[in-house]
Amino acid sequence: MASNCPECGSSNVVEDDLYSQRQWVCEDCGSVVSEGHLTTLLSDETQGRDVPYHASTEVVKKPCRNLIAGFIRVRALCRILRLSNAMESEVVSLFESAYNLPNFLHVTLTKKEILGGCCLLCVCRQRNWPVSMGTIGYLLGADNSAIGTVYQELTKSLNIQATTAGITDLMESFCYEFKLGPKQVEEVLSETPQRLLDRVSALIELAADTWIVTGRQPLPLIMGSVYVAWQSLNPMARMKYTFTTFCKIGKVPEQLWRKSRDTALKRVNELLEVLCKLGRELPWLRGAAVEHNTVATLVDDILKHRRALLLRAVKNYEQQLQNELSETQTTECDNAPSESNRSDSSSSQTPAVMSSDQAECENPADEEATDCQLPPTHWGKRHLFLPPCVKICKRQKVDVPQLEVTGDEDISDSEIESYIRSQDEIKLYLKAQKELKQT
Amino acid sequence: MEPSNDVALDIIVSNVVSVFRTRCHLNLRTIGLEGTNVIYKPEVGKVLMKLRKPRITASIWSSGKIICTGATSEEEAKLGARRLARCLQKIGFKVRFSDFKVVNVLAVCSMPFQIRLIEFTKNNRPIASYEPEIHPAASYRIKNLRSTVQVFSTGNITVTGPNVQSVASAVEQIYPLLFECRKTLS
Repeated sequence: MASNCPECGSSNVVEDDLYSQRQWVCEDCGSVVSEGHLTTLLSDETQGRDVPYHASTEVVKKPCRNLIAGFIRVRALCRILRLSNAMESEVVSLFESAYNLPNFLHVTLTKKEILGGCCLLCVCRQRNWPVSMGTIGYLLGADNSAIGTVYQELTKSLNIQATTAGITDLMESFCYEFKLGPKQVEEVLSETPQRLLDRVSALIELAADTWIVTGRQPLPLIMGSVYVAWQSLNPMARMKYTFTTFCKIGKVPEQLWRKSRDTALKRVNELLEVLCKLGRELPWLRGAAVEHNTVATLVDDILKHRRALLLRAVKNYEQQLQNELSETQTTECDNAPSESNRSDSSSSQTPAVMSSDQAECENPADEEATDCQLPPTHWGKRHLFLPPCVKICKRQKVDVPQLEVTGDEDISDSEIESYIRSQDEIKLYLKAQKELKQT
Repeated sequence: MEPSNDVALDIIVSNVVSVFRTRCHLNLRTIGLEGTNVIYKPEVGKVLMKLRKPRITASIWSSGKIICTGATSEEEAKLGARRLARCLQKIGFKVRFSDFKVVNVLAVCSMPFQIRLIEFTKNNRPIASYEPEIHPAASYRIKNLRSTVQVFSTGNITVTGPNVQSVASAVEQIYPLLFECRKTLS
């Protein structure tokens, strides 16, 4: 501060601190010219700024509060899902390494919560422990699509390879969600988890063969099939209970089934339709009608012989297609009398098939009506059970023909004129706009 | 014998996206006033112009950069872009058609068999990824062709790539992988 030393008069005054006290010392004679305060003042303590972390002398970095909260949350998730201690520690270490990655460090807190759930999902998949994204979503209160994006980012950044859980793995854990033991509900409504699980696995296998599983969300389907299985195990007493009542009886958490109630009901209808189609093939019914409300009694038999019934149904359908094909061919090339002879002979050759065909005669008409514009080699033309995308296939845009262009052709003026307004049109347009603005 | 020798697959190109520049500033209000089939969006700062033949929608920015979508072939995209540039010339701007480039091509193809997606993902990890709870298709990224193929279990596939040639090569490359994971009729 003072530039001249009062003792010797030199101007060589330097700042040379003594420990924490600022001092200005003359270099020539060594006398202290002036010094600062040794202790802090009250104003410094109350109004001064804190030392920022990078200027402090702290050596060990404390873990940030969000990371600590994340650990607590991840451990809680592991305990809710009853993972082993080894798996829990694996999840926590994965979360720690993922948290400090640059693309997860500066994101929103919701994303960090979802990151915890995704680490859990990764570890469970690596150990073949079936956990669905829907369960994680319900526990965290997050959307499946959000979890999906974070999961994909996580696997890409850390190069994790994890297997995808199939629907059959999720079944067992889901069946145990429904509290239908003999002590928890009435005798008439109770069911052991093992019996329920057997029935549900058979139903899901059937659903997988008939295009109900692929491309659909697994959880509503499992819920629907548990409902159908529970009804079929004691149809007389349980037919009157609706899906909602069933979920309340089983004490399933309400958020889990309320969101997907409509989808689950759609799957129930699809399952019942398939069961009805197979029920008609049962030989001891002799082609009697099978409806949605009566099929529950037959489910036991249908599931026991489902392979044979499926083969029968598919074979009958193919036979029917062939019959119809040969009939249309004969009507095209023959006269009326020979046509009737032909159809008589074909009917006499296949008496056994005709009886079951009569029961199915409405169905093929429906299937052919929806069978549209598939290429002739497509497998969909030959199958009885089709996914919805093939049954209701989009019509190709036939009205716009493909232009044969080279890209470098001449463009005539008249074509371009059609895209530009003339002066009169512009005046009219501006007038109309003004009038519209006034009203 | 390779299976691809026997079957002829129909690859249907459903969308071609291209960009070009006019090398001059464009007054969007003038275009909105003097052009027919235009929609002026001042809040975004662009004009949408639709051509009838070929059926193309173009987004025009005032900087002179234009994106064209909706064409069904690369030649059609170029013709549409040139027509658009002529149109702007007629309106009165000093347009020079330059830097035309096809940016993205989307095509669909139908396989004559169903596909087991879980088996397909297992055989082709980590290039293929399948999350049934997020999207019903498995996606397969071909890095050297810069294309992505989305495989559905019904046998339909959609391919996106930077040009039609890469899309065709992608279908050729993926066909044997799909063939070995097909669902055979029981």
